[in-house]
Amino acid sequence: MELTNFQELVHLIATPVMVVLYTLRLVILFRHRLAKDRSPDPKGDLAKGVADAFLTLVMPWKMQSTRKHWTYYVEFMAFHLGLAFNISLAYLITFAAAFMTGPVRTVFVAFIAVGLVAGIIRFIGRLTRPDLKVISSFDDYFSLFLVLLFDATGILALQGIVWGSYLYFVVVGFFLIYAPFSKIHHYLYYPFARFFYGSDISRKGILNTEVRNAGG
Amino acid sequence: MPEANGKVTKALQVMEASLTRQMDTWLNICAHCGLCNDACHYFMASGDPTLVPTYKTDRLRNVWRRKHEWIGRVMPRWVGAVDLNEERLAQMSEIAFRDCTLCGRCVVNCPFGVDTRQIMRTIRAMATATGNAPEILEQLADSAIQREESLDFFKDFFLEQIKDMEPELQELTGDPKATIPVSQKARVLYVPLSGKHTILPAAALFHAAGESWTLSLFDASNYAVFLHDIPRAKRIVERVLNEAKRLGVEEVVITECGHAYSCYRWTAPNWFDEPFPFKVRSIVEVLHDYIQQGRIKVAPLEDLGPVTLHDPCNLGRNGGVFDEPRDILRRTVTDFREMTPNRHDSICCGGGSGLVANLDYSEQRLAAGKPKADQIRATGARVVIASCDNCRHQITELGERHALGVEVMGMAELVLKAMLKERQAQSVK
Repeated sequence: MELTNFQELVHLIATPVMVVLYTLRLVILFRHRLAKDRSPDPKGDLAKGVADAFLTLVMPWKMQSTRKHWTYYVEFMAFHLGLAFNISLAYLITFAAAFMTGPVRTVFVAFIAVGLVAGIIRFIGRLTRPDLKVISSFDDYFSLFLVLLFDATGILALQGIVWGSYLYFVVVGFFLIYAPFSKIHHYLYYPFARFFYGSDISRKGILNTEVRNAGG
Repeated sequence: MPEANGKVTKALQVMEASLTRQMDTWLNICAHCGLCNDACHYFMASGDPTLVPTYKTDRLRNVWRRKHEWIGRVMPRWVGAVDLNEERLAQMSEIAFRDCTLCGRCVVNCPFGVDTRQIMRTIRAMATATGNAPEILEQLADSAIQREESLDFFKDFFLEQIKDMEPELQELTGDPKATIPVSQKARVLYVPLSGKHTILPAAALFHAAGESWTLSLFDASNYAVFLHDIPRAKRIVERVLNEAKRLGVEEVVITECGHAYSCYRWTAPNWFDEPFPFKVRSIVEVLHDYIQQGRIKVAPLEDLGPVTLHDPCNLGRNGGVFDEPRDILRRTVTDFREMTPNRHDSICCGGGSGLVANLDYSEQRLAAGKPKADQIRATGARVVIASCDNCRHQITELGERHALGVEVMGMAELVLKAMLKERQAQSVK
């Protein structure tokens, strides 16, 4: 089968499956009742609190854990940015091939490669750190390995290697279908989690407080 | 295999009932990144990987996965899903009551904000519903309810105890007519803990501020909150709620007790259909107002030496009272030293959520308090202010174990000292 046809076939099957599965997850989520907080006299502003909760992602100094483990934060950002570029690549290369000019490909290779390196560091950490090993399931290892494979084959595809491109789209197909079943689906819940967090701590007036002498 | 006593079924029912949209999010989203690991004082103190927050919450998450996650249902081992059995239930119950103080430090350090407290509370509720909760917490919760049921029996004894405190109050206030009004019409209903230390300083300060106040017949602690037994916790709150309604008070002021404050201020209003017809504040917030408004005059206590402040988790990170105690300290002591980190990043002392009451877990509790002891030592403080009875108890014990050489004091006691000093200075003039 021609590579272009193969790419389209993969998307034709995997993308709708992924969309249906994610929709199902959201339906399940919304079938649960929302626990409303009716405590009176909130101390903080809800909108500001929620905004702050979302912005923490790009403000690592807001959390002690990311202040302390700033290399982890860098690794986290590199890993996820690489992944975001790679997911975009899977669609762009198929449906907007003209956009993938030489310089654009170079940018994509750079981000995905850095993401791949960050992923390898994370994988080694998961294999070696006792506090991570104890909380890791097979799915934790496999999902991370899958992303590494996704990144590595993405780079091969960007180099124009034909067998690498076929392999990349096999991985893309599997990735899109497996993600909703695996830990990879966590990003779907991110907006909800940050909203709940932001609304809770803004109500209690916990956000927007300065951390005096916080060197830790 | 059929269950002999229905415990597992009951526990699973409790779990299902706890599955709100928030809980579904928190159970789904954890990516096992481990960023919260060293936010936990248990892990900080021991380095034991089974004490990281995710390991603890996974005790419930893995059971939930078996029931609700697609892969967990068909390939449980792949995602770590497990069937609940009595042994696992007993294990997770012990973890929930022994290895977590629900301090919430992991929550503010989680990139998603997974509410570990709620997950651990659900396990506590499952344990309580199946007879796996610590007996002492059950007894203490029941005795609070019993107090109301046998109020006539307790009342005379309580009034007598209060009467006995009045000569000391008169001496403190310099007013021979000063009394402690109990459950009378007033603007403020003050809810103490059992023990003179939460009644006398507050009484002297209310007197000095010219407050219209009365003492509650009941104490603020609510051990059913630790059990996450909502019907019982509600019943305990109802005693004060009914008293406050009967007296027509405008405000219920909670003594220096972390869990009681967060319960009355933030949690309990969600258990009742009607909103509370009064405001709820901590005595710390009230004292701050009195000082700011000049209703209580204070002089800095130079002789105390360096003083540090412990942010009780339920008052600070889970309650939002950060600025008031600091402002009071700036006015009452001359050498205030912050611990690092502080405020919402403050390290839990290890005594909360019923741990102090449970002698079976004393060793684990004191071991987990090591990071707090180190924090206190690093300040070089001679006095630690802690506006929570559980924290005071724990920090006192930590002080003995780690030879910190500190005195642990409540905020009302400190303000009283500063007020008496000011009075003394005025009388000299």
